[in-house]
Amino acid sequence: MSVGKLKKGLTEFGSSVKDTVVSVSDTVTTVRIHRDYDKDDELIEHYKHDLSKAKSGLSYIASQQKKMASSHWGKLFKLNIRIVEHFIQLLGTDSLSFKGIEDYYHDFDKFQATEEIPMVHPKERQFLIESVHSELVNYMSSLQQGKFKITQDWDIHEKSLKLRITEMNKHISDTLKLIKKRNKKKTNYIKTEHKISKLMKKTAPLETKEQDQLNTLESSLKEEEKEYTKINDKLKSILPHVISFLDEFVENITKIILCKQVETYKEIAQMLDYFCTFHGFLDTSGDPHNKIQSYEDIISKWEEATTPTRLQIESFISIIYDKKPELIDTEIDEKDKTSSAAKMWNKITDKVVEKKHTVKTKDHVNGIFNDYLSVDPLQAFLQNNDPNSNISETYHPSKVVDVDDVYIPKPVTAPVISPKLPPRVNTAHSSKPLPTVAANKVTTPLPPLPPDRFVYNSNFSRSDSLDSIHSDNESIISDSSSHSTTSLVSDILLHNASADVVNKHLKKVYNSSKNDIKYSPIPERFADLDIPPATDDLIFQKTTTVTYKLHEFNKFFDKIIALSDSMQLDRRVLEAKYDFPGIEPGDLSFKTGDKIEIIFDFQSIDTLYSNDQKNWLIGASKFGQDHFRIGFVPSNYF
Amino acid sequence: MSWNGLKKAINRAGAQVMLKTGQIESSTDKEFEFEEHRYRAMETTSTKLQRELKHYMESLRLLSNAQINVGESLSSFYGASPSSELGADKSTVKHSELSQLYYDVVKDLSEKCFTDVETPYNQTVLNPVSRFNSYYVEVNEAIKKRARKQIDYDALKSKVKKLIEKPNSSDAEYETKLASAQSDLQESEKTYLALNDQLKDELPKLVNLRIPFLDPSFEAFVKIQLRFFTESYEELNNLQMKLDAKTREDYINGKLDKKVDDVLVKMKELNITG
Repeated sequence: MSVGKLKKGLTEFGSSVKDTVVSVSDTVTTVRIHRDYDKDDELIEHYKHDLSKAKSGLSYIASQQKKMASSHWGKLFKLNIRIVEHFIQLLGTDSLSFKGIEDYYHDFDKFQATEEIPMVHPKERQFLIESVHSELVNYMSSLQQGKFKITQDWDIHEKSLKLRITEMNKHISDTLKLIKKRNKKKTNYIKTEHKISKLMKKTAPLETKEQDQLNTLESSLKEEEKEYTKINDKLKSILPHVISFLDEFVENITKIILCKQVETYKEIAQMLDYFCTFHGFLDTSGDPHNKIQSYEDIISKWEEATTPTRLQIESFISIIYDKKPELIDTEIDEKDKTSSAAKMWNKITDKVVEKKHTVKTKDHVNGIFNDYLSVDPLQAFLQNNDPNSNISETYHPSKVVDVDDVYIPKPVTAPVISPKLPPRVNTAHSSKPLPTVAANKVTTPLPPLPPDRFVYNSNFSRSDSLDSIHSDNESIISDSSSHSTTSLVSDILLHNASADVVNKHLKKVYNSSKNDIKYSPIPERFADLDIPPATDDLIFQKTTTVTYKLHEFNKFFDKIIALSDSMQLDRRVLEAKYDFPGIEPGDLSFKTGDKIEIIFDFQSIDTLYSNDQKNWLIGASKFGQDHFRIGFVPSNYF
Repeated sequence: MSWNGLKKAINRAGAQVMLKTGQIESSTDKEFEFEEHRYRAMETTSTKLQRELKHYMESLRLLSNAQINVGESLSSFYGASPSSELGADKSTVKHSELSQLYYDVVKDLSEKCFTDVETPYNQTVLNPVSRFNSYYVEVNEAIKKRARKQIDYDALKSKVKKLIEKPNSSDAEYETKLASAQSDLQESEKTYLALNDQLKDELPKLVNLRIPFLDPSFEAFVKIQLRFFTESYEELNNLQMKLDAKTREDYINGKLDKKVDDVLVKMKELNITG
């Protein structure tokens, strides 16, 4: 390492030490800004990793293709050709000629001239087989053609592929650069932000110099934020496309490689097939589809052809036979002839040549191109922003909120016990007839309701009162007792005859409701009958859904509002003393302190009507100008 | 080496020097020389052939390894989901599975086809050639022996010749010396000629038998290659057939390259650097 580098390293180290000191002091005094490592970072980090891996993967593929094109295929053919050349030298017409062979022929000719009995010329004693020679030569020429074609094809293939992969890699590099730029911008942004926050923390009023600094910092922060968001947004929009294009690219490359390989194998196979057919190497006797012999057939054919010759050599040539018969019997296996050192060397070189390269994606199972490439924000938060998980890393929150630190002020409304609700009566639509109703009706605090009518609170959305909706016994309104209620109301109205307007309106309400009656109310005794006429009871049973009730309540409330509007009664506004969660459908829930406007109080109409201040009123809790919730409220809660 | 053998070797070394310098006339046999030359030519070529045949297998392996590596790289883009389950029975392939299937096929090719091809190749091509080459050891020994005997013979011949040319009558043992030398000469001539004749007879036989011996190996060599490439082609073609017909057509028309280019253009349109 050079001195300069060392120096640099040292200063870097120094600064980092300083940094940590600063940060430690920060953590002691103030809340330190941690790097806001959010889900964007996570996602982009993921992409970055995959992209850089993909890049190296593509380069590797290109290099392997180049090797295959320039070396492997060429070498294969070259070796094949050389083998045939050797075969030709061994078996061909001019086989086993050597330098100066002509001298021998010349000498033989001279010798021959002196002899009276002609001798066989050594050339003729070679027992050459013409067909073997032609086979070899043909094979060689077809090989040469094949070599030419295939190496050329592969050359083109490799070049075009390489061109494209380089192009692709350039794009990926650009993307990676952009990511880098983004990260840098982000760091800058955070740094500036940090500086600002440091300045802001100074309790003493800032000096003018510092103020200036703050201002410049703030403006640069804005600038940086703008740049950062710009790049970040761009990346976020680009990256999925990059990945999908890369996917397409790899897919097509795979196809090309596959097709190229298929083509090459096909060409070689066809060439060999043609050659073998021409020279009758194929098994033409059998099935034409199966003419290419299996390896077993090849072996047996070869054995058939070669065994006699081998026997001849080994038994008739005494030089060989006499010497070491045991050597001849041992099977020769070429496999282990190379020395271990050579094997070692081969292994090493092979490793260099055949160096593997896999794309190590972040997602090992699904690879780069998957549809699941998204970051779970919750997980990202846990991993990167959770104060407990990476406490030793870059994130040093000075104050970790502990469970004990959290003080939840107890609600002061200690007496939670609300007064007893005013009695509700009349659960008439239960299947049981209520014989006691008549007795109850006097105490009924409920507003008299038209028979068959269910009245709802349109804004009634609290589910708490819906829970008990099916417990029919407590339903607010009855209908089997409605006739008595009606009489009650009539009584009330009669008592209040002086209030003509009220009377009129109430009558109207009443009658209009009555007009809706489709079925006459059934006497109680009928309810037990086996033959159920189409009674209200049954209808009711059928329609005791919450929705239905709410709907009916709704209609009722609408009427009440219209009525009270027209009566122009001064509406009292009461303040709730307790919480009322609402129990039945139609109840208006409210909290302590809520202002409830009483829309209709039956007390105002008839003072006799439940005069113990325990009553159900129709109240509305207003919020905003035009919005309110309406429903029954217990009078003793105010 | 026995004492006798050592003495012989020393004598022979002297005689060889004298032969080289021309003090002893060496006997020549043109016919044998011719055969030996042919034999030597065969020896060198077939040794080379053996080496090349070995290399051939290696280069085939290198090639298929390169294919595996490419396949692996390609499939690793798509992660390590168990590809054996994918598309095994299906007639069509989703593209994400393609590279994995490709990898599998290539791997299979090298594992199955390669081991398949190795045994017959060794048995019918490589081993026969090396067996043939193993004969050379014996033959070479015989030729060397003949050469030794020839030196002995030549040395004795010149010795007898000298004795005859310069009769030393004063030496009482001249006659016996001559006689023993002549009998030695006769004996060495006999052994030399026997060896010489045997070689002259058998070398051409061996050389001629090379054709029936090696030609089947050549045939097997070609046939094995045919089988290997056809098998590989079929395996790969099966996979290719699973691709849609359009892909194949596109490849033939060179449209696949264009598709890749299209992707590149789209990539460019993203305007990453801008």
